[in-house]
Amino acid sequence: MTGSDGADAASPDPVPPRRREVFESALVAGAVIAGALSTGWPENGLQWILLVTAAVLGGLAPRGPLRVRLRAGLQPVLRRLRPRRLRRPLVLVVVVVVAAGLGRLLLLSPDVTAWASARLFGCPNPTQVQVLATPEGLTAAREMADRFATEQAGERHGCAPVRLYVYAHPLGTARAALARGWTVDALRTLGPRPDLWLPGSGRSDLGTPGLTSNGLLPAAEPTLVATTPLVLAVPAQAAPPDLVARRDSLRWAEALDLLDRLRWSVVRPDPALSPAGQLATVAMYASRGGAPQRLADPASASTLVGRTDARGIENRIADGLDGNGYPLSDAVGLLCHQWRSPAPRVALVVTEQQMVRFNAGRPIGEQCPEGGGAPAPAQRLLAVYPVDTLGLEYPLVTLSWPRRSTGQREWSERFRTWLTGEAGRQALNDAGLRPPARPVGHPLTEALGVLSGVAYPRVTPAPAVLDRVDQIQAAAQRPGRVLLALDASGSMRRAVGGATRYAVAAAAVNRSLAFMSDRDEFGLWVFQGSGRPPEELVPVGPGGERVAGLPRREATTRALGDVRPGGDTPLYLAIARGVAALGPPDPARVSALVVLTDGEDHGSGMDAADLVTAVRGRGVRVFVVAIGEASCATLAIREATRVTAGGCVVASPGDVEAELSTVFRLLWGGP
Amino acid sequence: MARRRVNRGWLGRHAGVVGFVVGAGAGILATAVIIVYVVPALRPGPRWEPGTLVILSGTDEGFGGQRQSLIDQWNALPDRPDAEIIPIAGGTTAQRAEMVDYAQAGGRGVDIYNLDVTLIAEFADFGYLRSLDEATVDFDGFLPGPLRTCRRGDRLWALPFNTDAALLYYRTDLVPAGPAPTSWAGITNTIETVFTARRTDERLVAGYAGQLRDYEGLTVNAIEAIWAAGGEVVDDSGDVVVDSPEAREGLRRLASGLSAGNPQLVLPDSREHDESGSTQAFRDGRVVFMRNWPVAYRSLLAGGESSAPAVPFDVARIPGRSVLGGQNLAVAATSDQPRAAQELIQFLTGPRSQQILFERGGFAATREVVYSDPAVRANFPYAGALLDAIQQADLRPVTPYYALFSEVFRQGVRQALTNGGELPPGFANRLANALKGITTE
Repeated sequence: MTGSDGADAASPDPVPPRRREVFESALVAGAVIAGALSTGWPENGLQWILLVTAAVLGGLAPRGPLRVRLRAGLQPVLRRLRPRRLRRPLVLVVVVVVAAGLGRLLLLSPDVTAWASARLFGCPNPTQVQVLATPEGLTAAREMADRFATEQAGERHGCAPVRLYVYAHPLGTARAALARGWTVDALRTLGPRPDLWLPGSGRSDLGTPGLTSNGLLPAAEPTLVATTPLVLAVPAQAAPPDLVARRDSLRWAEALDLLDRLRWSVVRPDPALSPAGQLATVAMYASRGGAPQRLADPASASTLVGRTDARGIENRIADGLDGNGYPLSDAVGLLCHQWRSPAPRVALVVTEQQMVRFNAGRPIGEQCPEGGGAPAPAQRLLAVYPVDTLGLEYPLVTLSWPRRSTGQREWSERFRTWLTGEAGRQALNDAGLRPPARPVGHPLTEALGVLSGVAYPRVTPAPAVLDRVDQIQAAAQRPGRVLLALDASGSMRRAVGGATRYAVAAAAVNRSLAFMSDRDEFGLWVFQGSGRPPEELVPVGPGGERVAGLPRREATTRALGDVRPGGDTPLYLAIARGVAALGPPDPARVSALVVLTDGEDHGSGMDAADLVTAVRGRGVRVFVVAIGEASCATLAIREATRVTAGGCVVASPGDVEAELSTVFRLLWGGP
Repeated sequence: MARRRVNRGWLGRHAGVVGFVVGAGAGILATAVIIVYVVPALRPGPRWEPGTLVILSGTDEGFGGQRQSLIDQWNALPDRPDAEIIPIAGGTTAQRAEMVDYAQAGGRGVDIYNLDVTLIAEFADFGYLRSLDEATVDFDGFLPGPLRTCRRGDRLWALPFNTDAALLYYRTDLVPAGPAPTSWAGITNTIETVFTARRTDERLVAGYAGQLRDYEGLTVNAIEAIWAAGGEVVDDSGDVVVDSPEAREGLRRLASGLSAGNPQLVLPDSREHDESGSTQAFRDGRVVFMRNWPVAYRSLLAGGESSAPAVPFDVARIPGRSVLGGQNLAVAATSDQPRAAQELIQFLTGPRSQQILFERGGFAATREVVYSDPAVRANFPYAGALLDAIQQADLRPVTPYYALFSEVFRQGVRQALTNGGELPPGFANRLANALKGITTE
């Protein structure tokens, strides 16, 4: 092993002198240390311990049994070396190089120490990155994030260097909060501030100065990571042969006309809640107007559908929703209803990805916890691709907030890079999306209702076009016939942030009325006191009509100000009476009872079964905004909103206005 | 006597001058040292650093915004820096994510974190907190369990703001009079008795409701079920022992209770329920027993002005130990007002604040004195049971990677609940890795 071994090779030598032995030990130990330090100074206690231990072991190696064994092993080789005087220096050089190499490669190898350190002391602290998605895209976004973190952990002995928290808010809500700089108010009402935003959207202005004009949010240029085309999803077994035969050759207008002739219903996600619904409206309006290919041109805003045609489209969709019990919701809500109560002659306007996930039994969305099991083969959907369809785009927007750590910036960027690389694109495909410039594979297959090779134009409508479509759609939408029943029980006197619950609710109602048009009908009740029927403050009537000499909004404000909360909460009675008062349904209007309450039913004299019987099949949708101790989990509320295709939302005092406005936006028609 | 001539040199010849100069120099130097270092150290400085104190917290889930009321009281005190709360919406996962985000970005001006008890290890180990000066803390009356959650190593990182321990809620109109059952066997026997006896409530669907949705509540419910069966998840030496027969029995009880039976022991909807869902199920009369936190007590009473709750009920300790919940207030490592921050923390965790938070806000107090107040005992009949539950409660596994641990634990428990209580293969290894932050086997 040492220089003496070279001599040993020629003839058996006596045991080396002690001085030489010490020199050799020091040489090997030094080589180990030098090799180790050549990678840099030890970074933690474990590396120091390893370094010292290895140096000691290295120093001991030239002595004792190891030396004897090595000498025996090397003898045949060394004997052949000529000239003889080179043997010792050569062996010395080899030993030093090997020791140094071991020190470098084994001791302070980042891999070895990282592995050992994780098992002994735990992983390094992962960097926290927040990813904001839309409710419709949440499950897919989570799959992406999990896959990325798992891959990164796999490269680091199981230690994920980044922890991605993925959550969702509707596109409009997120956009407004981001434009204001995600203030403390947004933290209070929406939660964490995002580092990355992955909105599925047909908008091209997500990262442009429109969003960042206040200077609070310098956003990087969005990166397109995937698209998914809008489709008409029809139950495969019942699909009309005429439609199936021309799955990829009809225009939107032709497909809708064909379905109309065949007496099929069409349902679409609400454009106010769903980017897919908004983009589908653009596609349908443009198809009627004949300008689907020029939508990127702001001038095409003037060539969209006419008012009459738009009203025809909206009426058909409203009839489809009402007639088949679908909620006024985003695509998750529609598919969730389809999963629970499959309708055989209904075509759903959704994205290809949403349809594929439905067919594959993958989670649809958080709002549909019971969904996610694979539907029966008879209930699977088949995609029809209008030739003038549009693709919902998934841009990734990097939000460059001030005061972020280097790690947060770095991992945000790495996630972006990963999503646009091969691994990320495969993950996007697996989630049912179409990454750009890549052929798609499972699950985008015929077995799951997809035409994998279908072509669709990559057109992003100009913001002016989207705004114009919103205007046309609002004007074409059925007006609302809405009764608001407000809880005025004693618990509404409880304080929240310097005001009473009642005052907060009344202020929210007043501001929400701004969205009401003169075509809409509106009325106001309050309910309080055991066994007492609700009290009518403002009768249901057109928004433009005066009440007791006052404009309806003003009359409402005044009436709300005169109420003195007190007494029990006859909630079920108010709902039952309200639904009865709004019926029978008027097909030209969406009839809805909106209830704002902070508690449980007390003093109605009704139970859950009575309530459900009273509201079922009346053609009136029941919406509940629950604040305080009220809950959407109450059996009666859950069932009453479900059987009427309404909805329930829990609101904190800070966001009661936002939640109420969201409900009213679904119900009000346009000017 | 002859005088010896000595060559004394320049220094020797000028010893007086030199001595004077050296002495003067030393004097000047000593004076300067005293002026620069000693006097400032002895001079009483401002007691608390100026500036607004910022508390980063989850939203106030109590009644009437009592946390803000306490901050208003603090702000009304003279000579104190003002304080404000930045509330974060969302559940514990969202709140943790945002707090870590703040901490990793250098704190962004936050002085105090209101942390879930499970997060102290993470925030302390990764350098996001500044330890407290124990010399100024009034420890008198803090309940030992909640205080234990504030320590990590030999340092005190926080003070307990509010605590939590689960209670067993039961229908007094259905459960026979006398002490409530104290074991799972006792609960199932009572459920069978109730269901086999003539039904008095047609709304009744099942015997027991818990929180088995996929969130932290599932972790807590599963750990408590394992404890109730005499098992453990992680033992005192930090080893994962979830493979034990007792631990499996705990999960098997939940799984078999969820499967269809006559009577139905565990409400199947529990798999979609959080705390409010369970409370509603209990309020709707669908179950005989419910496991829930003490805040459900007031929620069950609230609703109208009539005093009668929707169902008559009482509370007792759950079988076995409860998981100890709650939140602790800690000073951010990056705070430039650490003294003021600690003073505010002591104000918020003081006996008077704790009494207000309990009486008006419904938060379980961390000071024992609150529970012994005769007025509290009279107005809040569950106070005794709650104190008992807190004193018996135990901590979830303590690790800086708790969020990952809980996630991995829930994955296994979810599979167990659909598989007769059988944990998936390799689960103990995955859990042991998760305790160290390792995501793969």
